[in-house]
Amino acid sequence: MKILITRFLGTNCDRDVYQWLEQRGHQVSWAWYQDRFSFEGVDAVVIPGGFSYGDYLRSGALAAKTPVMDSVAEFVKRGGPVLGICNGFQILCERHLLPGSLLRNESGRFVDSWVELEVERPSSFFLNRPLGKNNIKIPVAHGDGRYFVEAQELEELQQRQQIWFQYQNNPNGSVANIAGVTSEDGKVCGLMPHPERALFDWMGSADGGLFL
Amino acid sequence: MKNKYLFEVKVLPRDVILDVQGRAVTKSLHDNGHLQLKNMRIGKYFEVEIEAETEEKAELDLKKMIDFVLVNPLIEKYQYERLSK
Repeated sequence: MKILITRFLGTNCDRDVYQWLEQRGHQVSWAWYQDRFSFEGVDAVVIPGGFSYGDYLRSGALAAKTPVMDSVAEFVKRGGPVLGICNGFQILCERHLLPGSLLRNESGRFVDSWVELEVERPSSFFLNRPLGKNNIKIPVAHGDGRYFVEAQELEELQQRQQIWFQYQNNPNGSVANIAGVTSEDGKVCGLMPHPERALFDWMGSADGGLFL
Repeated sequence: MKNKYLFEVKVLPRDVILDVQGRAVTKSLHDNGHLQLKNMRIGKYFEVEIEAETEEKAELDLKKMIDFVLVNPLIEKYQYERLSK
């Protein structure tokens, strides 16, 4: 697939995501935050993690209001698949392309550890193969990963199968142990853990290779 | 003719949100003897200077900026007022 990776000032997981996608056999290129794109011939967009705009104001809030995200919103409107990882997930929520918001971890501490994720929605654009197991092992590294959504909306997410992953051991206090969500049609996906950091067994897990 | 208008915007986490920062500061103050402190919630304060022809136009602009990016209504509540310098 032809995949664009967005880059904001402060994005730092871009090169790992590039390598991850290239290893998976995809044709990857960059999308600079100040540029708009027509996304013609583009199969998917990935918004990597990091600290876009230094997490100023709110994580992902300023990055959500950029020309590249205008293009991404247009791409989504036309049915384009988008994956947001960590800061990317925060950006998608701030742009209202995904529901909810990510708050400071309940512990008040930056969490950096491996997590077991229960796959709640087995089929989405970015993870769509029989896994042969219920859980996948992926690392998290975040200070603002506590997913929040109102009770009413949570019910709707559950009904529409929009909960993508749940933590087996919640590291940040996310409501309903949510680690990732998808749009109703499964094309826009966001998760706090970093699948690009679990590509080879020597990394600690190769479950990131199950994506795409 | 354009005038300068000064506003303050006060933002706090919505009541339903666990305020981790407020909790951390409260604990620190308790550890330092301020046991009468019952609760603290911490937010943001903006001082915004807008150039406009009228106060109404300035306020409209401020409201637009608040809705656009300054406040996330899912997790924050806010109030604003004009400052007379």
